[in-house]
Amino acid sequence: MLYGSFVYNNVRHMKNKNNMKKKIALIALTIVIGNFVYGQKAENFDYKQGKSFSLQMDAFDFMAKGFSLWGNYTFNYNRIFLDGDINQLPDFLNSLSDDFTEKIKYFIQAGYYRFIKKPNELFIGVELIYQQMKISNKSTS
Amino acid sequence: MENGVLRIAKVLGFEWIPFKSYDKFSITPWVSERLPLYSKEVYFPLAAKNYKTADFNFVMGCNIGIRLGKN
Repeated sequence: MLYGSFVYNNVRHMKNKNNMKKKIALIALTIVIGNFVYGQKAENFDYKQGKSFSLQMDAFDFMAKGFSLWGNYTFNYNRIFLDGDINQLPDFLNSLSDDFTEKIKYFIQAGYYRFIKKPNELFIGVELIYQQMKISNKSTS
Repeated sequence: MENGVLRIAKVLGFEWIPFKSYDKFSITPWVSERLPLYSKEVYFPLAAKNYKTADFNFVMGCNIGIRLGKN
């Protein structure tokens, strides 16, 4: 009975120990993630040193009878974005534009920007764009 | 007819915050040179030529943005 109780207590102790380890790991993970998400933000009131989320629209799309919405997430000198867009901008640079009309039906783009000197000024970046074009032949349409 | 085009682009831009008293508002002009990764010819039965989306695409824009969040 005593032996059984000892084993039971040991097993319970081990389970408690495992649970405690899990709890400590969970708390540590929460602190790490929390620090990553909110830490810099709290320490640096100036958003330029921390993180921010912004919504943007492209003014040129209005001129091209369109509309766009950009979601930007900026952290330190880095910005990632996702953009959805429709407009009626013709592809006037195409050498075949005398015979065909091409317009963007919609496009989706994602990209990364890197601010050069300060987090809110000059930046360079790379974008990946999928464009769904609508093409018609001028002679048959 | 519809045609899908996949492009990669390099971008140069400048984020400008015109009002220091309201720094949530920004104006961001940018220029971008786009190069095709995937683009195919589109066949038109009644036309003498097929159509292919331009290989080179130079685009510029001006984003008007509002930043969300406390700081």
